[in-house]
Amino acid sequence: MKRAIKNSIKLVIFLFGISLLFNACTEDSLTGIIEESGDKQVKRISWNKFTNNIGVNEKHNINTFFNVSNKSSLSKNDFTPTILTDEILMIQDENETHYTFKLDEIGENEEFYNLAIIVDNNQQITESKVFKYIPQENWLTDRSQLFSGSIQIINGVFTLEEIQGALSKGSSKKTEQSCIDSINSYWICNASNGGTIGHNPETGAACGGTSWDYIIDISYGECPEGGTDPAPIPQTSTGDGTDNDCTTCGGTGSGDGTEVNESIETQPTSLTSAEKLANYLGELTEEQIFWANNIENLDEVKELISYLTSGCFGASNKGTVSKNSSSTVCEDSKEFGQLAMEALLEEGVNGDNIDYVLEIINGLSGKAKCIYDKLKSSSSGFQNAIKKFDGEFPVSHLSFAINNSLAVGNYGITYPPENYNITVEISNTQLETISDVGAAIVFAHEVIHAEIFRKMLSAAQQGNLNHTDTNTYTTEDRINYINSLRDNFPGLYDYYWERYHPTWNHNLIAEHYRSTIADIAEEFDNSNYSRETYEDISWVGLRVLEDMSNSIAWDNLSDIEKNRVSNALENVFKNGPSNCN
Amino acid sequence: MFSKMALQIVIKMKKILILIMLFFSYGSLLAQKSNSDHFYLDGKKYLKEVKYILFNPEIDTKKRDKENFHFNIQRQRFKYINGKHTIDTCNIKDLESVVLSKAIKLSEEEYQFHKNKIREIEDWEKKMFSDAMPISKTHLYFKIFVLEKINDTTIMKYEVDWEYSHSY
Repeated sequence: MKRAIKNSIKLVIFLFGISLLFNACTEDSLTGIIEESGDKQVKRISWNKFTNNIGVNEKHNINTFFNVSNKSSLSKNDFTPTILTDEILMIQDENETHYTFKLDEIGENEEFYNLAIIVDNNQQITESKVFKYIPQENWLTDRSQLFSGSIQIINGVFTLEEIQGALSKGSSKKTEQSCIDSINSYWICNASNGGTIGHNPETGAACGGTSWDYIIDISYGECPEGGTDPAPIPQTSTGDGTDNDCTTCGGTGSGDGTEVNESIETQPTSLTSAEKLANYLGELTEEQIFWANNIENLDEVKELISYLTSGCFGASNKGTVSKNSSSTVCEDSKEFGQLAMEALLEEGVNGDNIDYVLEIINGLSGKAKCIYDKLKSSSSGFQNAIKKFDGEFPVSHLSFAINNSLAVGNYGITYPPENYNITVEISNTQLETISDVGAAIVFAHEVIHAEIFRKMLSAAQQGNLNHTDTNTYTTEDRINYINSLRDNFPGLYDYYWERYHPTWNHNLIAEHYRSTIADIAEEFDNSNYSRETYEDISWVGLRVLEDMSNSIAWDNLSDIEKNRVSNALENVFKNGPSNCN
Repeated sequence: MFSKMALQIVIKMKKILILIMLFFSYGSLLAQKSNSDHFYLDGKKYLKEVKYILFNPEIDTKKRDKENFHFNIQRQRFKYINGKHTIDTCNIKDLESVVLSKAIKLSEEEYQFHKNKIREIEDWEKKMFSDAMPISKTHLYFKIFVLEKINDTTIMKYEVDWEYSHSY
């Protein structure tokens, strides 16, 4: 009985403790922090919280933002940013609240953009400015340090009227061209979530919140004649964040002569590498986020982003508000971008393995890589074969990888397409047992398999060839697929559909593609042997098929021809020169 | 008195919670199992046919890749994937009644299975089904187990994927 009472007391204390923990997370705890920060608080909030704060309907806002962004005036300077709403910086004081949004535009020199707006206590948007931040090299190499660089106002992007209209907060106030006059800066205790500094780095003062934030107070007014240059952001505190701080402190461009009438408080808020990639590729895994934000992978991330922002990155898709946006890149680039990122996370794969022009993932190494590189530079037949997988023919992508687990005598394998990607695996262990020209034959053979699948995908207009899978193929899809196969690739249709047998694929290659394989090998080998020899060694893998039956084409050869082929395979395919290692 | 009752309620709730957790984990196990045991054709769910293949270490190969195993048996490739598949250690007597298939004949058996199954579909020709097998990375119709003899009394039973084999 005593034990039961003790246990129940323990349980009550435990539950009470838990309830305290939960209570500690409510907004009541912010009160003290606001007082410590001079009635000002900094928070990073969600889009829902933002729309609640300004009292408008979320769905309506997003649609209206889309309308705003599609206005032609927004793209006249080739600057059509997406407003990202996943995380919004909020700086709140007694009279008004300053919100900062990240924009998805990134310049060639890593310039980034923020939209800052001010909302008064009547929930009216009174100011809106787009700032361009131009970082210095030292900040780019270590983004965890305080931002160093300069800032400029970009006029005419999202004007105040457009922002007000988008949020149903219409106003007759006219937006004027503005230029920065002065910049004031100070540290403020962060109320919650985010920030990296536990104490004021200048004064050493303790913070009642979770960290300190470096805030800049940008004063601006009418532009002087000729506009202004970007203004450097001060690296040390120039005030304490109170309203009467704003003097002429902080360097500006040619601010002389401007009439200061407004100011916005904000913070340089750049996208992380992972956020940039997620913006194009959709949600990333934890492993991908870690990889993308690792400074050691910066060059590879830049290359991937550069690929994603080129190609079919149409202006009509841009200039939108996005919550978890992934709509700003075409599907084809997105698929290959995802494949590239998956490959880059694998051990031993780096940017050199990704061919963004041909959209091929080359995870090859050793002899396989040597042969592949030589084929690409020497054989127009091979180049043409793999070129069919590039962006001009966006039916499917091709990936090469190493698989040393293949059986003895099995040099390569081509997997059927999955999600528009065809993977060819090559065994270096097996390639090392044959000649260079033999290895070139293996590549040609596998690329022909891939080419057959590519043709079938183009007929199917689907990401896979499992036509009985009702998740991807409706009856209508299947009928269209087979009709398209018949109309566009009658030979393939005949082997696969009309006269189907499990060995149809190799029988088709044996009958119709051997000369293509021989062409690739002959070009690769600079015609060191007779044409007949290249045709003979192209029989590899096409004599005895997977069910141990002979191919029809092989059975049609005479015994003399069969003997000649077997000799060529032994002397040239297996035991010919091997310099590529 | 009150605290004793409260304690009893808490203990009961604990039991209920554990039962709920067990129920859901069993449910998710069942769901996993059902995915690998069935295939779909024309929107209908069918049970996969179970096939047993004997691994002969003298002529076949088995390679380990991290926690996975690759079996190359008579030019067919089978892959055990850790976390997806099961491995059982069995007494050889328990498998006496098992009918073994030859890996080399699997494609032909699968082809016959496919031909028979599509003929069960109403208006199969109108719906553009044919003898042509669907092409996928792993074969669809058979649930395959690779059996590896460890000693005179013990056999390891690997559930595997039968991988597509257009290769050279």
